[in-house]
Amino acid sequence: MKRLENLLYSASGSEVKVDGFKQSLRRSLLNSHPFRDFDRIGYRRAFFLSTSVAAVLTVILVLFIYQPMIPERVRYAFLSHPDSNLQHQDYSNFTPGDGILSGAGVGVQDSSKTDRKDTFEHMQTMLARNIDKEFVRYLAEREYKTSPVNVKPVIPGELYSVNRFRLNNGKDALVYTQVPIKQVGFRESY
Amino acid sequence: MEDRRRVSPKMAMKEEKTLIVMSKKDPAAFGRIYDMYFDMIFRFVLHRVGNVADAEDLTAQTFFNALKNLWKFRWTGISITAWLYRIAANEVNGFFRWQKKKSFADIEKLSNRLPDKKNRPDHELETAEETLAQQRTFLVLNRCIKELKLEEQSLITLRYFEKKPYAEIAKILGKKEGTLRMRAKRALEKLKNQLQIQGIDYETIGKSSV
Repeated sequence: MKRLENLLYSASGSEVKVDGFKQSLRRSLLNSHPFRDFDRIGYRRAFFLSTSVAAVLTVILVLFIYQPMIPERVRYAFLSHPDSNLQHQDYSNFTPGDGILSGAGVGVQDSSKTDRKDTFEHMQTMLARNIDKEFVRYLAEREYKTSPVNVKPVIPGELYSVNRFRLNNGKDALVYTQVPIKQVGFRESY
Repeated sequence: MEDRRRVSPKMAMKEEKTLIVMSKKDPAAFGRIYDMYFDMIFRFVLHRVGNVADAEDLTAQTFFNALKNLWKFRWTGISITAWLYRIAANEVNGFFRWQKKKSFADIEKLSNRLPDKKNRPDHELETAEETLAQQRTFLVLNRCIKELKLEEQSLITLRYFEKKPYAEIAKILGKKEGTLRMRAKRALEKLKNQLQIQGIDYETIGKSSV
């Protein structure tokens, strides 16, 4: 067996030279392939980029699960502008009875737009109540032009002011405050 | 027996790694890899097929495949030579399987690539084949080696013609060293039987080789 091994070691076709073929193949190889940028992004960069995006999306998802009001807050922030009816206002400058809020346009219920059906759905302010009162007066005076009338509810019901507050936890609180009729000074109307 | 032309360890591996990274984008870098390993791969393929024309085709196929799949190659501390050898071995094995499917008549036509000396355009090919034809011992052994299984052919070629250590062959063929030693022993037994079947006395043909 050793002799066979030695024979194999010594037998070889290594003396064959093909330099011409070697050079022509080299040319073909280097010319044929465009050598485009295989790793345009780089496989590592692509991996880390996709992993980062997945991680960020997972964090956002978890955040939404634990803090469900965040999307609502973001939406509210985007919707908060002077023309919005959902604007949350600061009432610190309001003086009861003024009828006019500083920074006009806040929660102003134009008498022409007052909807009796949506009373408890609208943001009610002292001004809104006064406007409603004026509106009723207007209706009353339309029918009885000759004499001034005092406006008061015919049926002794209850008056509420509705205020909407934004809490720190992102939730909204509607506060219904009963307005005692005696304080307003209503009298019977005819 | 070690291949004296094999590059030396750590620095060469570092350089090779750099070269591979560059070769994915730079043609010149790939050209260097080609220059470094062409002779090695061509020699291996020639030892397997025993025919210069087929060896040229298969070597070209090997390097084109290597270039096409170079983007997939990831450095794991193993030299690119093992990867190239593996591609070459697969190409040769595929070639032999394809040959088996053809009829004998077809094989005769295919092997007779240069029927008329006057019409041969490639002088270099002609010269190379004439040189190879003079190495009778090798051609006899090659004919008998082709009767072995494909994996055994690769093993014998790498071990005895390419003079690779078993450790390197293990990386090329993806087998354990111990397994390869055992298989080499069995392959030699089979080769010995083949030589006897063909009436060749290997103790004498070595003496009569050119």
